[in-house]
Amino acid sequence: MIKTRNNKAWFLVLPVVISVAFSAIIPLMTVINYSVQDIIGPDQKVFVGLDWFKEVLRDPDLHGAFLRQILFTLVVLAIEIPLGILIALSMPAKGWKASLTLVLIALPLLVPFNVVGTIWQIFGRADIGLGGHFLASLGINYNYATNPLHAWLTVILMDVWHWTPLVALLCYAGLRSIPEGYYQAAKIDGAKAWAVFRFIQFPKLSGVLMIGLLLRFMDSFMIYTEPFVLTGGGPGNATTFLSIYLTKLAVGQFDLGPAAAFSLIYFLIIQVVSFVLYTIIQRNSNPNASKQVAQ
Amino acid sequence: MGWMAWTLPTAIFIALIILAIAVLTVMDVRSPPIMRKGFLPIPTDRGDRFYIAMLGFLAINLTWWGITDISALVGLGISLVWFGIAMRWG
Repeated sequence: MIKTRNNKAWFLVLPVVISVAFSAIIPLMTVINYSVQDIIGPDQKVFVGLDWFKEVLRDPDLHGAFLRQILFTLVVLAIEIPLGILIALSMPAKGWKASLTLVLIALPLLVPFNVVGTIWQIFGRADIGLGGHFLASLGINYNYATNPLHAWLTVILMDVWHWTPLVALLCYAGLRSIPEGYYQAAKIDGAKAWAVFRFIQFPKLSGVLMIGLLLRFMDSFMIYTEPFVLTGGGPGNATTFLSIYLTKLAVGQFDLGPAAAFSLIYFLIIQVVSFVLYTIIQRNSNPNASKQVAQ
Repeated sequence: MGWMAWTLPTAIFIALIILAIAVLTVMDVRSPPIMRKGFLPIPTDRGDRFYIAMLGFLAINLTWWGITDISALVGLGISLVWFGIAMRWG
């Protein structure tokens, strides 16, 4: 016999529900409404059914932005996750050096997004920036404003600089939570550094790594401010990622209907991938769950 | 509410989702959900299956609208079949 639960605690959640309703649910419902109409003016709307969805889903510019977004996300994840692990492994474990390293590592995370873009915009310029000037002195004609490859390298480098510390801090916390006994056992067995990493540290890090992966996926997939400040989506469309494309559509061209339809598709993609990653996290945290359920 | 630009089809769509969540909540209180393992790769309860079924439902419809000009009702039919399968055997 299952006892009825005390549901009064749900009232404590009410303020959050109201707040989320106003900040997320009502705007989302409005976006759904906009996605099936041609919004000409505040009181001029024409119902167009699924036309915007069909148009947006067949838009080659959007396909381009989507592929660029996927590529960007894969590249930054492929760099940031291993680099974050490497940094965490090489960070001191105790003493003042550990505290100092933690503060220094965390610094990029404190810089606002638009300032990050501005920093790298100036840094990469050959006339006034240290990085651009250095490359120019090596004879490299580096110009992120005209060369798509240079623009990509700068955006990736900027994101790696900004967000690898998050992965490193998560991994550092994961490493510190491994009991000393594991290392002592490995030492008795004569395990080499690689074996310690492979069989002790990496398995113990998998939980925080999945959280890091989830956070970095969501952030990198929605990246907007940094590339917008740095390149404005250019040269051409070289760094026009999904958010930049969406903003151009909604604010630049004031195409609210297609922008709303595109927002919903974008929202669904992030939902699906985040759900898959979240499920993997859940499975890692309780690998025997599938054996414990009713068949 | 005029600024929200309501239309009848979107109002029905949103009302159905809210109704489904309300029904799931009532069912959750009356008979607590049981985790089970179906054809989906993870153990799921009733709410999980609803969420996964909804994601699939939307993805099937969007794909249909994006790749073919055949009536959207066909896509809707396929997605409803998926929804039923995921809820029953997922």
